Amino acid sequence: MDALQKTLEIKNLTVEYVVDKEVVHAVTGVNITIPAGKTFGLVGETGAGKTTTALSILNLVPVPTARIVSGEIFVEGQDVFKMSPRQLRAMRGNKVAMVFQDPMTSLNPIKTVGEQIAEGIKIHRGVSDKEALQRAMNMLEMVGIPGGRVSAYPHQFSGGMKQRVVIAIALACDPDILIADEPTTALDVTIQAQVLKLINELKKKSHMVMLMITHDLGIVAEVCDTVGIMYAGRIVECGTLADIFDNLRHPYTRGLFDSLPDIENRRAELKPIPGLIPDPMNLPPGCAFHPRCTYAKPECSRDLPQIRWLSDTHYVHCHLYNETVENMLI
Amino acid sequence: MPASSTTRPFSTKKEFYAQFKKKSIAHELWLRFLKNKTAVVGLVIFCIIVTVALTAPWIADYNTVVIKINIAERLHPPSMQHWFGTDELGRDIMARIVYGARVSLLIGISAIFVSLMVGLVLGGTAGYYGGKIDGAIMRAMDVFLCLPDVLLALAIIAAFGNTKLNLIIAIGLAFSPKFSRVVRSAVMSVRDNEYIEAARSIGARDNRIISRHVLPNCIGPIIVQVTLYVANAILTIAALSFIGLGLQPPTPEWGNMLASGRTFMRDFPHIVLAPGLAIFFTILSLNLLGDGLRDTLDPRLKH
Repeated sequence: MDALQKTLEIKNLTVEYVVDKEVVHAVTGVNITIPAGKTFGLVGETGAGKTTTALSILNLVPVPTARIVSGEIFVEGQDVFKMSPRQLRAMRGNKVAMVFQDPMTSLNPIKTVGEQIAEGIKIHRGVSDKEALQRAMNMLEMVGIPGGRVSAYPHQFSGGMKQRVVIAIALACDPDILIADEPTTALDVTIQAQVLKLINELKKKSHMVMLMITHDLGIVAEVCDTVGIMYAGRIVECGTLADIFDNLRHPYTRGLFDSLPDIENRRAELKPIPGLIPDPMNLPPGCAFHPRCTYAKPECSRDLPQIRWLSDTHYVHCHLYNETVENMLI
Repeated sequence: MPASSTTRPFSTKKEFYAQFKKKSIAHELWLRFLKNKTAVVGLVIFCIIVTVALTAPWIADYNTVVIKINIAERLHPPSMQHWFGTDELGRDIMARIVYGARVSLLIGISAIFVSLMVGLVLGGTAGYYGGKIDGAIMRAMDVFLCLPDVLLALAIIAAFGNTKLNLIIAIGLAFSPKFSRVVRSAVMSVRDNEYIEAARSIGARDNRIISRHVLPNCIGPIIVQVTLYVANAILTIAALSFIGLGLQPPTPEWGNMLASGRTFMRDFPHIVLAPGLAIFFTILSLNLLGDGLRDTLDPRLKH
């Protein structure tokens, strides 16, 4: 078991939502493996299935609307879809913790932040109220908020402080795996930097596995070791930070980078990806990206591309690399 | 710069900082409530009624004044000695009204407490889980909602007898479908919040989430309904007593006072006027209070 400690493995995960008998393909065949102490960045546009993937790890997808069609998720070697409700509760918050996207709505407005941090400690550690609050105070100090503010309510905090509280709640029980669902999206850039610094420090301190969900490539560069680019429910390209940033191969990944403004060449025109992310109820046949892809070939609208490994760490999901491993994006 | 502008307008440091102190939510709500004059009137009337009910033993003695028949003094009009006059058996109506308030408030509030408990459990479960559980519970509640409150309470009393406890249970159960609906809709508006999902993500049990996270956030609409339904319950008690199925004489109760005074109404109107006005002011105060609370707690109605 030791080898599996602090690891997360998602195998062939497929999740669908059924809305009025129409099927939404939220996540299709996603594979993610995160070894101990590493951070995986999941990047994609809104609606690409990032949050669904995250919720699946906690087995918290909203059943019965959502349906896990296939796949396994191993948290330290144990399949979360085969866990009993009691095992799930014991895992949630204790082994796997989640930082939610919007700190404004993910804190209960009528409970003090101390009570909210202490709640998980009470559930999992079975300590007295007083001790739980004491630990809550320590957690607050760890995320850089004076311990004296345990009895304050969320509305008395600024956005950045609220996100720190949310992080303190997630880390209260010293989890092995931390899922951060766009933890900085709702924050100002200055606060973003503070929160990212905090996350990086905590990661170094506790060697946890982290799944960082974001649509900001800058954050990925800052905290991640491995990156998966997600489009319409699939990971279209996956590799190490160097693979993706210096050696990207998928046209969609290229599109994402081209959408970033370039500070050195301000005259350069932004090149947004043409078109919109497809309606997940009605995905185009073949490669879901082909209607927006400038490299599209006839087979792209016909067949689903296979996973093509370009190196030990780098794979891509694109017809361009059926016969070659050379970079086709020139 | 003139010297006067540099002097502090506050005499002490403490005073200066006090102005930056943030008011608590409760204090802010209280201030907002105070702006609503009719609601304050309701609150004042209700407080007077409660105070009178609580101090009843000091106002009149139960055994020698309230239930003791005194034929010599029957049907006296209001006077200094008997503020509201005397009834057909010579008892002081004022004293009976005061003790009647005890009964009405006690049964009314306890009954609503019973229905609140039932409503919290059933409505909370239905609203939180939704789907089939919601369907099963709420269809059962719909069946009960088809029956008039009085009829349902009447059936329970007819089956089990009309003691105080049975009245409380009967009226409590009669009102619980309504509470279940209120609680359910309030829970449904709260349960999809991200902080509920966050609570789930740290491994909290469902009953912990419902009782610690969902219901405390539903307290606004529930308080409003409690106030309004206490008024309703008091009316139901009076109605049951009026038709002779509530508390039996000689226990003073507004409804049975009305019923027994009915025969003498034409010649001695004071005998029904007093309990009638008592019911009127109690219901009025609770309704004003309830509406005021709704305006206070529901920010969408803020002017």
